[in-house]
Amino acid sequence: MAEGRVIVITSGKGGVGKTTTTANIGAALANLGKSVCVVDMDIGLRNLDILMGLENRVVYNLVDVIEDTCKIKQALVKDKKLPGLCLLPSAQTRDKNSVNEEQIKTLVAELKLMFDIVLVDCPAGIESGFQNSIAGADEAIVVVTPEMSSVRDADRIIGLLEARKNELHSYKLIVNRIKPDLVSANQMMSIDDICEILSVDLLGIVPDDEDIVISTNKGEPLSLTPNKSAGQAYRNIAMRILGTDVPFMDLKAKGLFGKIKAIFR
Amino acid sequence: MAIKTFFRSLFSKQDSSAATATHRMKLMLTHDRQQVNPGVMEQMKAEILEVISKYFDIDPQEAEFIIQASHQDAESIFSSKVPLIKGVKFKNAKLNNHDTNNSKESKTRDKANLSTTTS
Repeated sequence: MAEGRVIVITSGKGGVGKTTTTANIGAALANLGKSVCVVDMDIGLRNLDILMGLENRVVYNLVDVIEDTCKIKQALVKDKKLPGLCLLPSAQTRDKNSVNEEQIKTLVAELKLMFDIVLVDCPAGIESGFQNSIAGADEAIVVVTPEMSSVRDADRIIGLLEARKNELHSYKLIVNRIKPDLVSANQMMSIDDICEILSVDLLGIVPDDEDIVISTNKGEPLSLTPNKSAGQAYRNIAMRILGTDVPFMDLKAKGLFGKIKAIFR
Repeated sequence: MAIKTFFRSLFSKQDSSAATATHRMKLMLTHDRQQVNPGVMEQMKAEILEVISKYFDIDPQEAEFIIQASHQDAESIFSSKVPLIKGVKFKNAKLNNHDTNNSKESKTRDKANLSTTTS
């Protein structure tokens, strides 16, 4: 079996939707028939298990695997619906100093032999948690929201990713939480502006969607629910990761009122 | 037009905050990306002024050095504004002292830490 791809999902700034993005892309890729492992690298602040609705099935975690308390297969949690999808949970009671880059590289190399795609959910910040997360990654996805603080942090992250371009051969951008009404009214930085400022290629655009809150409450990634715009955005991203050329969504202001507002702003 | 203005005042507080954000963002990132240590920057300014003063009468106090984003694209520009005293007057006489000045300059350069990178 060919080696899988390791893709790290990062942002610098917290709260921009890294974990949501990881869960949704992971589910969408598995739904397309790939074997996928999502790895929660936020040691001490475990969250990815909640978004996937697997919090009650966690027995062992990533630190247990690294410390040889258990085998990788014992720590992996199988998804409820998708047979190809697994979660490697993070430890809730340990901190990020429990692991080092070399240990993560070894772990990730092993996961690459077991899965088509390994998605690593990186913690916020640029310290050891980030450095551990990008250790062993082949590609990176940078999540950014159309806010100045998020774009600035993304720029810093891109600088750090660029410094490792021998190992990390590509990085692309997801612009998350776009509010079409505000973009149409020129009150929110446009996707083109953000890509130009950061000089990076776009992987996907995700509209701000209240359904994300609901799907998180249910523990079911939105990318599995048909007819949801954010869900469709994640499905498109998954297809692009697999090499299919899918056009970007048209995020124009919706509804009569939104259109009128957009015209007169 | 009046109706449009009315609706605009109804729906909008300002013209385009997106454009403001984009412009601020470009300036901010240009600044962030220059990892120039302030000491080295001062050293460079002093050296530039020293060279220019060999050829022109200048007012070093009024000189300005700025690294900024150009308005058209995200490329950075290093610009310097050095006011000349009494119009443009080329100092031919100074050229005779070139050799002595040069040795002084290389001494200062040895002291400077020029291991910075600019993007």
